[in-house]
Amino acid sequence: MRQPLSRRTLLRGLGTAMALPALEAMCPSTVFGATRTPELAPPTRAVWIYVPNGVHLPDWRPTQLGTNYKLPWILEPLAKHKRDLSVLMGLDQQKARANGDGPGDHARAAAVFLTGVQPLKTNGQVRLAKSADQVAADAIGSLTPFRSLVIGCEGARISGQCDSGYSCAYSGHISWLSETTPAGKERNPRLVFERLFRSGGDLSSETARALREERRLSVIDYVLADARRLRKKLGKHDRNKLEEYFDGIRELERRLEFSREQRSVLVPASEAPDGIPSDHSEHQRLLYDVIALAFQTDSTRIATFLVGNEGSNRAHTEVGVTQGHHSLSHHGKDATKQAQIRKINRAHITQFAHFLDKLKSTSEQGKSLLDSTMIVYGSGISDGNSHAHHDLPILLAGRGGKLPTGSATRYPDKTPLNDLHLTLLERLGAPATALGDGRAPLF
Amino acid sequence: MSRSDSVLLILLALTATAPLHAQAPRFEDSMQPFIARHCALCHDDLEPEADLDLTRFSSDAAALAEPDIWFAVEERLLADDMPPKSEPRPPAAEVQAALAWIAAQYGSLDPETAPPGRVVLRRLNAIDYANTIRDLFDVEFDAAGFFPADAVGHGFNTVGEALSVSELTLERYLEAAELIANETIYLESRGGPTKRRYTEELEVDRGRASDGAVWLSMVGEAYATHEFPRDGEYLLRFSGWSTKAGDDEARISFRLDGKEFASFELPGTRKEPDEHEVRTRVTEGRHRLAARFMNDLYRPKEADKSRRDRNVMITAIEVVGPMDPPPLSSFQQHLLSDEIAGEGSTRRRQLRVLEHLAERVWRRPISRIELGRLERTIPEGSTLEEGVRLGLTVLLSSPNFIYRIEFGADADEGADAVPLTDWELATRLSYFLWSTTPDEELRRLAARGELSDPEVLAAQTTRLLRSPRSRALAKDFASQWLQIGVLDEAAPDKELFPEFDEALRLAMREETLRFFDHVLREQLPASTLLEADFSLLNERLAEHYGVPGVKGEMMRLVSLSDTPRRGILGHGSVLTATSNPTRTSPVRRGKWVLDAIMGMPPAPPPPGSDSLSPDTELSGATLRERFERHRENAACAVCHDRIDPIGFSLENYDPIGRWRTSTEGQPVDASGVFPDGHAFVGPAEMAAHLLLGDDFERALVKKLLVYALGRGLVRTDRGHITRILAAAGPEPSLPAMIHALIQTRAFTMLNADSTR
Repeated sequence: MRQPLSRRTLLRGLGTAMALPALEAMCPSTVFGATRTPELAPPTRAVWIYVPNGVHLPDWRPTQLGTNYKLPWILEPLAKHKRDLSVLMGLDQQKARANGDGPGDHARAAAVFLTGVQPLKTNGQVRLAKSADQVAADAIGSLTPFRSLVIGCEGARISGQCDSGYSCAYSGHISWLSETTPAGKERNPRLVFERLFRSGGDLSSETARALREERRLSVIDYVLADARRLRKKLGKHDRNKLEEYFDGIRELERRLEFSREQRSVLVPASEAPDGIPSDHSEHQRLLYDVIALAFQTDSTRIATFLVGNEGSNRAHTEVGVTQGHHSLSHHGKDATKQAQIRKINRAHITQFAHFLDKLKSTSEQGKSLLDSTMIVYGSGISDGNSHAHHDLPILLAGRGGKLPTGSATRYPDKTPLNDLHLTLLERLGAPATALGDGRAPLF
Repeated sequence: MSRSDSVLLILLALTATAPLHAQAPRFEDSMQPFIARHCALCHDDLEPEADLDLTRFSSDAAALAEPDIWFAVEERLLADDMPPKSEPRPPAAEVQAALAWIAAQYGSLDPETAPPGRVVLRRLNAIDYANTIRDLFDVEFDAAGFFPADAVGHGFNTVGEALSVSELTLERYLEAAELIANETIYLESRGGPTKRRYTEELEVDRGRASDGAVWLSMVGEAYATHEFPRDGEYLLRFSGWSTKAGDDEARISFRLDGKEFASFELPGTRKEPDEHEVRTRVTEGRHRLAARFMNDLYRPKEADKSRRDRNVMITAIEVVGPMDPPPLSSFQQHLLSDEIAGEGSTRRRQLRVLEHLAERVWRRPISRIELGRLERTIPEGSTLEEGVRLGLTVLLSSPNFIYRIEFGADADEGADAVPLTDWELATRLSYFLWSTTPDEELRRLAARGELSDPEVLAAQTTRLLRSPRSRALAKDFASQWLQIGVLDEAAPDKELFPEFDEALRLAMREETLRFFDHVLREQLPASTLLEADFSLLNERLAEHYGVPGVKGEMMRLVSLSDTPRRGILGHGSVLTATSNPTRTSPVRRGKWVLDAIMGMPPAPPPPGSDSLSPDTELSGATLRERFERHRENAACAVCHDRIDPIGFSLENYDPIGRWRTSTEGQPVDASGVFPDGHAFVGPAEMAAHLLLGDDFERALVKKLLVYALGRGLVRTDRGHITRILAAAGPEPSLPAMIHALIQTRAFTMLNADSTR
């Protein structure tokens, strides 16, 4: 047998992890400045972050409202960002409830998080809606090489049974390109990096990259003609399916045009992180770093991060929790289990705090990256034991879009979470009149 | 007469009485009187059973507005369990009349005329993709790690509707095409070997860098860490000189990753330094190349001042290479040989090679027009290799490769089903049984148009099943059918079950897959899956099961006749995957049996009931007692009367599948009663009951159909299923079922409207 692919270590995503170096050092301002026409102010960015199985609410919800609240135990790692952070209470995702569809709260919770639309319950088909981040990407995605960045730590469930008769696509994706197509999610920090900065393989020089992109355009010309011929001959259902292929090709074409017109960001390949580390905290950190880097280089302005698939039963051994997260979340008010849950919640928040550190310490035209970024962090389940979908645990961070931050706020019952998404869309310059069950921007 | 025979008879009768386009029976003459006589007692407008009022329809128009109702009615009539067994049976002629009305409205269930069904365009999933690349090019490609994860539909990762393509997937497809083409077609290196000379960048271990060289005044080394681009021969050089002392010359050990591969003396001087060179094979990757000073000597009392101190100066380390031509794969050698590429101009040779490749990559011959377009894509003046590499990249990026496209053969105008082309049939067959692209023999038969001959098709089915490649059925079909993936997530409590580790998990998974493969390969009756008194075990798993005399890691056939363990319901994989971390879950086990094995998934619990936890809310009693009390609730009982007896019959198996006779200090009570009143004790008797009738075989055929066709089943598939069961004969084996399946219209044909 021949030796396997020469890039095998890379393709398998093995190896020990290496932290990304300081962003500032990687993007000298001269290179950075050359990537786009100077703007008066940094662009506004948005990222939505999802954690599975709800949280331990008693240690999440502040007991006071306003700016003088005490950070609860789970949120303590965020202490130094308290002024850039709001704890929002009272927001609901009504469509995550059964509403006649029976069990499947985990699948629904993730599906609904960025859509506010009740997912279709069948084994084979999916039907949902375009998610908030993709609505934003439609409006402003063309300003950057990448429409959006869609990442997550976990791949797909291998088994067909995800959650009580729902397609596995729901619990594994919060970002949806259309009613039927979830946005492909990347989990390997190295592959994300190489895709963003075109640094894979032997593409060490700009010439090599340019050559490859020229070749790619000729490949695209050919396969587009193939696809057009097929479209003429295929039946209606198959044509719809093939439309996904066209969408993908068009986006790739746009990107190639983009890099032809503008000098691309050069981030040395040697700075690429390795593959997926075995330590889950490290994995999150590497992915957060890539988001920060993508924003800093203006490769995209929109990102989603699914920290764990909804219903994930990962054993968080990185913080000494050996039982599965989902099993623990059905704690039946058992104090030992609750203690494990809050430990997991705080571990997630610790990595989130690291992300805020990173954004805060990265400066751009005299301001920090955090000042131009809007971040929603939360879950579509409030308490994992009862599968509740009201009064969700939601954090809002960053000063992007001039969002008011720094307080604990409670909204009237049944305020749709989608109202918050509408706010973000408006401030991104992608105002939407309708988004699932959203009514009007929250503020 | 078995039930499937009687259903078949009804179906045959239907064909005689209700040809599809003949005058359709009217609702008022067929279904309505039937309802009035046999259903209305319960299903009327006064508190209708199951909320189903069948008396509210009075015309075709009204009835047709709600097709699902009639599909349910049809299902119950065909299964002959409505009206309930306690009621008198309706006369056969009336049943037929009612069924004929449904068939006339919604299509025939007759396997001879039932529509093949609509398969949504399927793309290769990651498994298909990796296998295909391996078999075509002998290249291992980790598709599952490179592409975004595949979605699963109807329990399988072969379902077209669920296999979507996002922007990211598409981008990865194009990138994968480049990687694979580059790996398949090596280009002659144009600029010759590269040279890299380390001077300033030399690193030091126990020495000192100065003036772009390394000064070694004691045992120590100068080294460089070099990235070798591929396996090959390299020239490794170093240069340096020494100061002298004693009788010996300074000696240098030349080392790769700390291992000496050559040793030299270094008599040279500053003015005339030495240069040494070795040509050797080095593997791809980063290696540490070091020149190590071995024999330091210091004689301060030596009279000759110039011979007091033996030191070494390493001035450079150099790597040149690879020196050997890039190794050609046997694949590439064959491809570019005269046999394929032929004679003539480079362009002609390129096109011959690409035509040859296209037939393999696209699973059909490439048309003249397509080849012409390919020719225009390849720049003038490119070498044979360059052109073939770019062409292959295009072929692998095309929807013709990524999707399994089915247009069907030309058919008569007005036909409602069209046969697949031979190439399409070869593709279906190969991906079904092998999870990979058609091999040479299938391609040859397809090219000659012979595969669609039912006898040839049967012979090929036999050949594919006998090949070791049909292990894919165990790995890809059985693992999904039996939901073995869940085992990977099972997390038995470490304190209660310290013996559960990864080796055991692996052995459990292997047992089930190899057992399925064995039953398939030996053509044993499918019922063996539930009844077998043997399994495939290694030492670890045998010990776990309490079976003596099995040594070593290898899995081998072991008799279990001295134990109560039978079939997959006694497999550690299944029993662990359906348990909670600290205890067994009779509900999960029962539900698994009903769903995976019997194809009768119980309805999900009604809203609000899923939070009821038997652990906390009914403490004090045994698990079984807690469940029995919970079943007193009528809303729960509807399903749990079916689920729980099955689950409790497996209570002799603990949460990690070991046999036990007591639990919670009580003897295990593995007795139960099915809703039909049939009582049993223990898993073997329970399984025997499951095997009465052909429900198990029917469920298995359905799963095979979903997997093979890549679509969910619809009402008209009933005809195909019945045909398969009839053709597979009594006590059917897996190969018999598969043979029958492959011969159905559902497998060999397309709905004519699929391509309109």
